[in-house]
Amino acid sequence: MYISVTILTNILLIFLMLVSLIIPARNIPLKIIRAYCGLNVIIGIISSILGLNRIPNLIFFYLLIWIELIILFYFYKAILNRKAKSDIWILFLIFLAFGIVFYKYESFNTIPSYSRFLESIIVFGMSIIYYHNELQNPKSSIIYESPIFWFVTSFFIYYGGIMFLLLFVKYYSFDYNHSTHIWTIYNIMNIIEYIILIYGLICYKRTLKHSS
Amino acid sequence: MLQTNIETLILIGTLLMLFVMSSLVLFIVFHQKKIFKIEAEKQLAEKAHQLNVAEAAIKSQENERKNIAEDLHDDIAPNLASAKLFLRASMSQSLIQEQENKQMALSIIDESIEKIRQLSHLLHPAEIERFGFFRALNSFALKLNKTEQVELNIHIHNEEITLESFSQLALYRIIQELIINAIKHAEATNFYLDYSYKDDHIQINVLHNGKVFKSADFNQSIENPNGIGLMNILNRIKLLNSSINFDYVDALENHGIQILIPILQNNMFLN
Repeated sequence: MYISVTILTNILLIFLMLVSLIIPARNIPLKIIRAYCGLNVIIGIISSILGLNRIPNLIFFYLLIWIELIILFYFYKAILNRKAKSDIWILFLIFLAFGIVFYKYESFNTIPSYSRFLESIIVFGMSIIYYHNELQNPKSSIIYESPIFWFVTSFFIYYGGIMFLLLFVKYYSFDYNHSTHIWTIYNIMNIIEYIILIYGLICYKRTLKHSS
Repeated sequence: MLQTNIETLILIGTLLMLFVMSSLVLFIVFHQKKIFKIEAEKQLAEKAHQLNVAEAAIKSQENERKNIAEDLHDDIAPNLASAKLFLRASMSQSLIQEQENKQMALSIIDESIEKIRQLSHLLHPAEIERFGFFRALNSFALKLNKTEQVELNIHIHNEEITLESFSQLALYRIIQELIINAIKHAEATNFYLDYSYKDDHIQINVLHNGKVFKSADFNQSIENPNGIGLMNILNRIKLLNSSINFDYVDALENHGIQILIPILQNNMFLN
């Protein structure tokens, strides 16, 4: 089960990367999504190679959290209005402050549970700001025709979903038999995220067709 | 055992979060659709109202043109034609008759000149630009009182007005229209106009002895085609950013209409 879910996750990630490369990125949000996919592919490949060679790879998890959050921060900054931009700056600064505090309690040998949990809350918060913005000033009659809505929803569901997992993962003993169950749940969340992102890209392609 | 418990907790927690999040997204989708629908309906209603206003403006313009055409056709043109006849007739008549005809022609021409002057004044009261709002108002009262059928008494508490001439004209038109409407529809013969300039607003009370005209009557009137005059009043009220109360009753229980125009420091109507 674990292996098949992991394989499916990686296939979907590569597929997502290819789709994002095929579609001409004419606006900033799509370019950022492309960077987000690229980052996940690169970190995934490096981690897998290191893991297979029994070399500690958790440092890349930490690296992923920081770069990923910066990318997502720019994504939300690009899609939100000026007033909401100041709100996401506050969220980012909160992450920075707590990230430094958590650095004391987390080492590169343990799973970055707290940092990832905090990242999830920040992304969750930025998504709520986006939804609030959309409810206040609806830009289109059908929100689900907007690719941005699907991109945000994918992050919202993924980061919201893994929040609980990350909160309790600290109390979990990581012997191979047990940890596979946890990572299967984690990978399923990844699959949901990638599927929604792919759908968002399809929506984007559709809007490109309509505009041309 | 503990590991299995944590595992179950994580699984249930994740599923619960997933359910909550999906529900939230669904709620946003439906709620956004609802909000967009309400916004669209609001915009549509606003557009319809603007269309009504534009229609009323065009109708009123057409009405004014019709009135001018009628005045020109029914009064001035026949007058000039008869003056011409008198002059032509005088050419082939005796000296006494010639003098009489010329005299008749002269008085007809005088009458026509007066009619043209009245018409011109009705179209644009020159007093407002030349002598100000209060002089124009008094002049209007004088004309009404001359008819001996209607009496208008004006009481100005303080001759102060900070509206620009365009807004003064709009205010003058509102008062004119209100009085004419009250004569026509409320059968009023006696009017009392009270003007006062206060710290933050201008207050005008128009009291009359006619039938009481309520806000409900007003709303009904603007729905039928005869309500152009009232529609014009409403448009001008909007233009002045003011309010009008058709159910106004003063301390002595006199019925009438009250207009309140706010005076703001950065008001576009200020000088």
